[in-house]
This record gives sequence, structure tokens and C-alpha cells, in this order.
Amino acid sequence: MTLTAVEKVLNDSAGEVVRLKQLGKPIIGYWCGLTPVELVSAAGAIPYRIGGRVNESQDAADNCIEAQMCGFVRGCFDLGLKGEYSFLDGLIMPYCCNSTDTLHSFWKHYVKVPNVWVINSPHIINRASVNFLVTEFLNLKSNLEELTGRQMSDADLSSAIQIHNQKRSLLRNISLLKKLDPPPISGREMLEVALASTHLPPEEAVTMLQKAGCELKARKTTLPNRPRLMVFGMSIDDPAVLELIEDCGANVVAGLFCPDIRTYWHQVQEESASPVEVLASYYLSKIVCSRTYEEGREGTIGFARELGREFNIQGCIVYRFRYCDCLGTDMPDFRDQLGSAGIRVLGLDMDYTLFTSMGARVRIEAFVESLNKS
Amino acid sequence: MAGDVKSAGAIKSTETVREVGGLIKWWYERTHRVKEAGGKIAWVMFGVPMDLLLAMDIVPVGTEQFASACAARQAATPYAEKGDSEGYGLDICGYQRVGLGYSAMFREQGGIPRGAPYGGLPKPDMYICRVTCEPGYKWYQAMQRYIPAPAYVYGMTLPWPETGYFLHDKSTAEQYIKYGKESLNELVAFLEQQTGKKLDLDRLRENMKITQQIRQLNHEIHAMRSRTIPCPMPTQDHMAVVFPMLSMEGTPEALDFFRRLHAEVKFRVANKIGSLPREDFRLLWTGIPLWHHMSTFSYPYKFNALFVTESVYFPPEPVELDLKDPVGDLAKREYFSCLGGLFGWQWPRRGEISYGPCSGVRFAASVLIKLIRDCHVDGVVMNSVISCRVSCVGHKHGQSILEKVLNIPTMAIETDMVDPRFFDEAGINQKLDAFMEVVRNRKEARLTGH
Repeated sequence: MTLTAVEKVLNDSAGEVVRLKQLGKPIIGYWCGLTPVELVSAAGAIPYRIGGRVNESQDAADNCIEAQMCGFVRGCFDLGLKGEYSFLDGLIMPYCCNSTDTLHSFWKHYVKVPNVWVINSPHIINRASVNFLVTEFLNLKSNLEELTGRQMSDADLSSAIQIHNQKRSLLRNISLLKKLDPPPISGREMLEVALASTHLPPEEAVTMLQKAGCELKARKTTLPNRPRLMVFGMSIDDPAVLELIEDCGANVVAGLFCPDIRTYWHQVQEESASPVEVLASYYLSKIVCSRTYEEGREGTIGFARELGREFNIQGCIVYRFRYCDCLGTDMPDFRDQLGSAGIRVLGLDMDYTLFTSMGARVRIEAFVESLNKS
Repeated sequence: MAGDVKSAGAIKSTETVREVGGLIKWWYERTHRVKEAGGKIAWVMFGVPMDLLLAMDIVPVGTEQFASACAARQAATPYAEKGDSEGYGLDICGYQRVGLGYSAMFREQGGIPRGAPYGGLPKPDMYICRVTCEPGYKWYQAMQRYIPAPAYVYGMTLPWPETGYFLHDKSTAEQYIKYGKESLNELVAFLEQQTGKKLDLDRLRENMKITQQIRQLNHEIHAMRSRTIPCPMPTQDHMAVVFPMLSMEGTPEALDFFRRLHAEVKFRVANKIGSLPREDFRLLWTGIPLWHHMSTFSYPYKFNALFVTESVYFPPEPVELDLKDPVGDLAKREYFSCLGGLFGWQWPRRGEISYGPCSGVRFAASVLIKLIRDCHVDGVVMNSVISCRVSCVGHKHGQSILEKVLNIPTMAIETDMVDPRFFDEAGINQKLDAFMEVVRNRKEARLTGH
């Protein structure tokens, strides 16, 4: 079942792109939660999250780049090569990890997108890194202003922060419905809602999310009572992944990955004399995943524990794409630290595409079964 | 285990380089002596300024270099297997897996694992990591599970010209050097806290002067060895030099070593002393070497062929410094020296053609093309290390560019730099045999115009 409010956005993505182009604003692509979408909106452009496809072979990418890299960014590149993102007027690539920084050079070389901008996002959370990121954001701001021909004032930026915060708040409210047992919305549907909101200008996304919220309030719960799971990952952008997990007999009640909970749980500080600095601080310290170095692990594992308590989860699937050094190094810590909080962990090393997911299905079923028995 | 060392080492050409084994042994013995005497040991990641730590009487030991040393002594496999069993994927950095496996064994056995090469790495008093690639700082983050110790991880990064921001652009340099200086100031504060003493700036200046001299000498050696026919110092000799280059900067011992190596290479160049009786084919190596089977570099000798240059571990570019503000100068040095050339970080300058990346993300294809031309290279072997995104993604693209622009034969192999379980010696040698046929035919065609 897909919520009516998001159906059109998801099922007619080509038509939606045509409609967005007719709005007359540049469309700026991005794939990473570290992207300051507020800057894009404040410049008068539309931020648009791109992704890959888990049920499509990456045959175009196979011709020019090795397989030993993140399947997600490779999937985005594959679709770029196939012309799926020819409508973009620009692409923003935060330096998230070695796979993304690799891809930047290839994207510029092989895919015809008019503007490609990198944000050299620091991996350390400290004052020096915030200062550095402020400069990076100011550089991006200049680039966007040049593209749109419009100077961005602090007031424009503050308005953009407000509207994106409103979007985050609505998404969070919808996700909080999953505290109910059983929840009225599946993990797959939640991801559909989150994804759809990234394919619309923020004002339209707010309207869509308000409709979705009303639809859900009126919905009688249809999901069965089943073990409650969290899924932790870096970027999981295809609902088919959560469908695979939920088909194995569980309810995914918390999705701690981009573009789900990680991207909307916290708010950007409003009412600031220095909105660029506030944004830099937010994206460095609130959008925290395994690519960030943190001593106390509060942004990742600590956050997962906190969500685990809030959503009353019994198990966590750490869903890692092969060749991800970040999450690959974190797996044992997840197992131990969540385990000591009473949350059992299943670590999965997956290809981005689901062509070889049968083995994972068996493991997920066994994991869910073990939760049923405990 | 370390007791049965089957030699898989390469044949070295220069006399001085044959001393590296002794230097490595001395360095690790020094760390044990210092530890036993109550001194401080830091486990460090590549890119941390050794001269700074030495100025505070902290002996740094590079954990990546130790993983390479284990591989060279055929002792990495047990640590890699332990890393696997701890739950670290086979596809994550080999250095990291070996390092974490070693640390896991350290915890299990209550100290240095039995049979560790060079007496193993003593327990660190601190970890220091500069962010270069994810495995580096994630490794040190994970290390807290096994051997908890105070850690300082800092960011000091570089721009990519592909982004439109060039190393030598004034505002870009200011932004990055400012970040670097702030990070290094915090590092100094951390070190002062750990040692209980203030940084002696004069001592740091002296160490940095030594590092300047080392880098200048090494830079000149590199220029002489790669471009000269016959090749006086092949790739395997250069790879051996990586240990004093990365692990011993700022020390009089390393300076002495590079002075003597410089003199030897200069002599060999002046007297046209090559590395082979006959040099018919010159090859270039891209990617991290096979530390466990450096003999691969000598394999082409049977074809009168040798590796004359490579795309990794470029000596850092010498940078002029006045040392009035030594910590600020460290930031400037590390910025302009292009990260010590680990993966080259070699990019075209503003206005030069870019063909995209090759041999990993930070080594531009156009720089490789220039290297091939300058060094009179006849063929390129690309080692795609399965566990390293940074050094190897880009080889496929690079192969097509080199064929198109230079019509030069290339060959790709897939291995791991420290884990010999991914190495198929017979298969690779077979491929090399076939490759050398192609190299021979193409060179003949080039020379005869056919």
C-alpha cells in the first residue's frame, strides 16, 4: 500500500520532473544528507535528491569504473550515465567518503551535468571544522547565486531554514506514529514518504506531508503484531530494501539512514545572526553517520540506542553496502554496544542491487524468528 | 608465522637501499627501548608530522608501516584472519584489518602477540591520526575496543582541482592552511597535555630543517632515478625507501641514509650504471605494492624489463619555509607538499588538460601521461587493491585513456597489499608473461613505424 499523497510523486517521477522544470527554477541534484538544501532553496532553486535503483543492473557504470566502491553512489552514477539526470542544472557532492570523492571526478568526466560542486565536508566535529565548512558553504552560496542570477540574503536563508525545518518536523511527526504497536505505517511506506518529500520543492513537500499525516490519522492499523526492528545504514534509497526486510516477518519502525530519520530528526537553529554558520554547525554535528569520527559514538550508536528505547525495538539490522569502510569498521561496535542495551543486531553485507538477496533473506528470516522466540 | 620467513622479497639494485632492513629493525628496537625506559610511544597514521612528535620526545610508530612490515615478513595472515573473525569485512582496508587483528590479539594475550615481527608494536600511550582516508581514522576509532588510549584525530585536507579549486590559488590555500594550522595547534595542546611539557619550538625547528633536507634529497633522487636511462634505482628500491621516508622524518639517521642514497644514485647516473645488464623495456607500476610479494617487481627481469617508476609514495614536494612560525609552517608544508605524495595527489595545474583520474582518485591521468613520457615507459601494470578505494578506483578509466592517448599497453591485476590470501602468484606471472609479449610487439611497432 502506498499513501495517496505520495503516489503521484513516486509513480510518475518522469512527469513530475517535467512539471518541476515548468516552474522555471533550476533543479539541483544531490545524494547525500550532508547537502545544505537550505542554500539551494534560498537561491531560488529546487533541491532534488537523486539515487540508484536496486533492481537495475549497473551495466553503464561497469564500462568505466571499478566495482570495488559503494554500490549506492555507483548506482547514482550508472543512472547518470544512462541520462536519467539530464534534467539537472547542477549537482552538489559533499565529500562524504572515499567512494563519493572518487565519483566526483568521474561524474565530471562522463556525465553531462552543467555544474558539479563539491563540498569538502570535514570528518571531525570541532570548531576548526565548523569554520572550514562555513567557507565551503559560502563558496557554494556564490556558485548558486551565479547560477540563479539572484543574491541570497540572510533573510532568504532564514526563510529557507524555516520551511525545511517545517518539513523535517512533519516527517518526524509521521515517523513518531511508528511508536504505536502495531504501527499504522510500514517502514517501506515511511521511506516512500521521505523520498517523495525530497523530490518536491519544500513548500510542496510540506503540503504533501500534511496530507499524508491526515491520511495516516484516519487509517485503521492494518499491520500485524510482529517483532519491531530498526534498520541502520548509510544511504538506503529504495523502498524495496525495507520491503525485503518486512516480508521476512518484521515491522521496521525506525529507519536510521538517509533519507529517513537521520535527515529529519533534528532541527536547524532558527533566529540566528549567522545562518550560514548555523547550517555548518548543523550539518557537521547533527547529520552524523559512520563517516564521521566521534569519540563517544553518541551521534551514531548512541543515537541508535536512544531511538531503540523510544521506538521500543527488539532488534537492529545494520545494512551495509559492500566496500563501505566506514560501516564495515563499525559493525563490531554496533553489535556490542547495542547488544549491551538489550538490542540484538544482525549485520548484513549487501550489494546495492538486490539480485543476490536470497541469502540475506534467509538470514533476516532467521533473525526475526529468533526475536519471536525471545 | 614470523619464525619461518619465506623470502618473497625483490632484488634490490642500490647498496644503500639494502640497509633499509637494518633501519627498520633499529626503529622498532628503539620504540621498545623507549617504552621500557618509561618514554612515550604514539601509534600514528600516515600524514602525522613525525618531526613534531620527536620534538616532544614521543616516538611515533606508523601502524600502516607495521602492517606492511608484517606482510613483508610473511606474518600478516594471522592478524588478517583475526580481523576477519572480529567481524571486519574482507573488503575493508587490508592495513586496517591486519592492524585491528593485531590489536585484538594484543588484548587477548595481554600484551604483544607471540611471534610478532620486530618484537611487535608496544602498547601505545596515545593515538594520533590525520584524516586522509576513512580506514585511517575509523581504524583508530575501533582501536579503543582493544587497546584504549587517548586519541587525537584531526582534519587537514586538500582541494581537488577537478572541483575548480587549485592548490596554489591564494584564497583556497588560505582556507586550507588556516584549517590545518588550527588543527595542528590543537594537536600541540593534546601532546603537551599527554607529556606534561611544553613544545620546544627550537627543537621543532631543528627537526623540521632535517625534514626539509630529507625531502629535498628524496625529491632529487626520484627525479634522477625515474627519468634516466638506464634506470639506476628501480621501483622496488623506491618502495623500500618508503619506511625511512614516512616513518623517520626529522631524524639524523634518515638524513644520513638519504644523503648516502642521493650520492649513490648520482654516481650511478653519472656512470650510466643501470639495474640490469640489459634494459630493453621500462615499466610503470600503479597502485599500492604487494608488500607480501615484492618479488613481483623483479619478475620482469627475465625479459630485460624493469619497473622504473610508479604512481604511489611520491616523495613530498619540498616547500620553502622560514620557520618563524614552525607550527604554521607545518600546516603550510603539509598543504603544498601534496600530502607527502602517498597516492601522488598529483593533479594538473590550472589551465592544463585533465583526462580525469587514474590510478586512484587523486592521481590524474594527465600526470600519469606526463610521467610515462618523461620516464620513457613502455608498459603500465596496474595493481587494483581490492580493499582500497583511494588508490585503485580509476584504473579502468586510466587504461582506456592511456591506450587512446599514448597507445601504451596496460595490464591490470587484482590483489591485496598486505593479505596474501588474495594473491595468485602463478596467475599473475602468467599474465605478466603475456603482457610482456604485447609490450615487446608494441615497442617494436613504435620504433619501426609499423
